[in-house]
Amino acid sequence: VNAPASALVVDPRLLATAVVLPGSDPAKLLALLAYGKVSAFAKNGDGADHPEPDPQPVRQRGRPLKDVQQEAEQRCEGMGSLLPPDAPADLLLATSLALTRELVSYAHRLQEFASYLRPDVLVRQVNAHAWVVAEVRRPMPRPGKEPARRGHLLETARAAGASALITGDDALLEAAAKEPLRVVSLNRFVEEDLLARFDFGAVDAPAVIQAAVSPLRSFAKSPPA
Amino acid sequence: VAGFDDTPPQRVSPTDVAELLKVSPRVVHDWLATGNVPYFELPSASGMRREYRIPLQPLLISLPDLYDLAGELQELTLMGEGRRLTEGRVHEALDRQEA
Repeated sequence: VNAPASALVVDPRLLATAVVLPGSDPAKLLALLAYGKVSAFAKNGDGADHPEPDPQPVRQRGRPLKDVQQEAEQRCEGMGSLLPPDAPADLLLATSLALTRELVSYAHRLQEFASYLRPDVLVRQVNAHAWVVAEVRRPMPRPGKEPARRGHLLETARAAGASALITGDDALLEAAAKEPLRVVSLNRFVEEDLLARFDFGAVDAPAVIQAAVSPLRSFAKSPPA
Repeated sequence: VAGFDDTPPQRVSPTDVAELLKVSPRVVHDWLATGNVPYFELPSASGMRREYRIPLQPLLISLPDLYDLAGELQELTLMGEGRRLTEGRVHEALDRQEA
């Protein structure tokens, strides 16, 4: 998978938390990833570079690519107005089937006190913001080299060409030293990568995420006079 | 989902997709008929039932077009309000059944 350099793999535990707690830091990160996906669509339509004019009309799921791109530009503008100044538009969520399966299992666990959180709902709400879906053949941890149980996070990050894996998993964080991949906690990622650029704490995650998935008319501006 | 345990296939049947997303197989076939999800048809002998496979990567990316995600998100927020959920409680629930 040729992923952009800013692709991130985010621990499904954090992603599940983001959906259940819309005011949490994981939710703010998900909001930035949603913004990153829309921004990428706005730049490239389908995310691929088309440096040469295509002789055939480029279409995405039956819609002209130009329309998709225009819609993304409009949505991007609406989301940008909801974010603090200088919020990054280059963070992209990478995932895989293995991570999706883990999300499903977390939904079951969370249903204990959040019975409304159906697994399919959780998967949809997270994967709607995914940019790269890496092909990970199977979680195949290397004995003695990485945590046996959650090696698929590392596998996904490698396959997606991600720039970082964000996790709160102690075992994965401990394995970070042996990895060419950057493995960091969310707090550290926020401190090292985001706080210097903009006011992460001011991200209104529910509003931004809602804008990412709402019909465009809900935040359309008045036509110019 | 059948077949997902050892070597997760990257191209799955409509039945697998229905099970993964908790929708009826009829819904998935409607998506195929309307071109809402990417798919390919397997070669089949004449008179045999048509078989389809759905590539997972494009499918997951397609999902936002298939659901009222905004309505679903609003419902999630409403349901979550007033439940006094904290990050600690969420982590506790995520940890509890891992042992």
